[in-house]
Amino acid sequence: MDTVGQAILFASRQLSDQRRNREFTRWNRKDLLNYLNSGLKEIAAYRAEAFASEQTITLAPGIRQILPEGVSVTGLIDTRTGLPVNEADDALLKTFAGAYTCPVKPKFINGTATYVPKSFAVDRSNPKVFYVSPAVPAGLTASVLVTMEGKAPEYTFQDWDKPIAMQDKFYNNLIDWMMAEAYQMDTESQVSLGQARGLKQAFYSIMGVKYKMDSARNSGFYNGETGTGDPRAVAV
Amino acid sequence: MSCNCVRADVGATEPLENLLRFFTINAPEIPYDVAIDMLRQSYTDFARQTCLLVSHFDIPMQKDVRTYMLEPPEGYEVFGILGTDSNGTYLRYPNVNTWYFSWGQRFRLIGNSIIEFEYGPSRDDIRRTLALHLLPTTCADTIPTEISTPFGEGIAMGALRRALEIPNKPWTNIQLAQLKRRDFSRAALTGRNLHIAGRGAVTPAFKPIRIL
Repeated sequence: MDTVGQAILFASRQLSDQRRNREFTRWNRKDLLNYLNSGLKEIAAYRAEAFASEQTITLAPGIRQILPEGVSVTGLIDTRTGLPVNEADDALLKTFAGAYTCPVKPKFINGTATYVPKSFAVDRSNPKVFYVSPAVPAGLTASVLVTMEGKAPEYTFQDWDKPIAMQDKFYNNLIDWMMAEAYQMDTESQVSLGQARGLKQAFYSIMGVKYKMDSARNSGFYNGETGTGDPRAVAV
Repeated sequence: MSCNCVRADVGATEPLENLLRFFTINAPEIPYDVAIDMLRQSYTDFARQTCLLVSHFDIPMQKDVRTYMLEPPEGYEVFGILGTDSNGTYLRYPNVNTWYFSWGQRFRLIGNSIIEFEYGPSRDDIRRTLALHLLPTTCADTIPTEISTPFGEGIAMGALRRALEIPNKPWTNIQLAQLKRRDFSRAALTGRNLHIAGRGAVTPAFKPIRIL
């Protein structure tokens, strides 16, 4: 992945603003850095997985856990074995927790009380909350490695040589966004506005915004309906 | 009234969650607590139908004492008495809470935890051995390997059947649930036949009852 400085230089070159001894004339470094940061935020809004990261967190007693930072949990890794934890149905996990009456006991491995996560589920209404099963016993310190969709980073000039912390496949979209924002400055030029519009359309097309909206509409989501489903799917 | 009775050892066991490997392939999104609870239910059904979970319980009888507490192994509860020895002969005990004739001695089970003999012994050094039909407790975490090795998959299929019948889930599959129910029934039938033939799991603790 290119650094912040390389991305800004590339965008400026694409905007034909890198003539000899007259670099960054029309769009200065500060503007392009702002466009880069706003582009990262826009990508995070639609494709949060572009900023996935891992963090070890300490679990609280019980089943309900809260992500200290980040957007939502996408995976859990058992730090003891390095194996992924199974993702379960969140409605069933939450419903059953109230009915489960067996005592919560730690597992003893080599004589040491240990917690072993077996399954987890992300709360659909609040992706920062996730549930683990079995419950974490009280008084036991347990930790897991959480894979989460993160927030977009915000860069300054001090980060000029730092690689952009984003999946490579969205790099071109970021450049498209930066160029679109740059062209939008030229409000008096219809050509520039047209360029900006085309670049923004390409950006949102890759983000899959139209596809998601159409899918949600066809599923009846906005009307509270159950939807027609995929006619190609055959009920078993 | 109470006695310092000998508790039979359970023998080699393995965690019940080891049977989840048969279960979660077809229903991977089942939460762990739900899956283990279904396994426990299936294991209890299996133990009840097959009478394979049997423990021998020695009672050191006390002079003139008729009533003794039954203490099952940890993790188990007494479902019934399959038989009692009387001068070396085991006899069937078909119904709970009724007097049963054995060789010179009648007994009955009260509440699945107390055995009451018709007469107390005339001296202290007489011993009685009971064959207890056990069930796992509601929160059992282990299963004897003598049961799990031949019948573990069948027990897991009984649990999987329950999971597949949960409505409106991605893994719901009623037709597959019927097949799994059949697999469980087949395992229970095999286990029951083993018990009837007196050829069940042989361990120091779990001995089959021979019907002569």
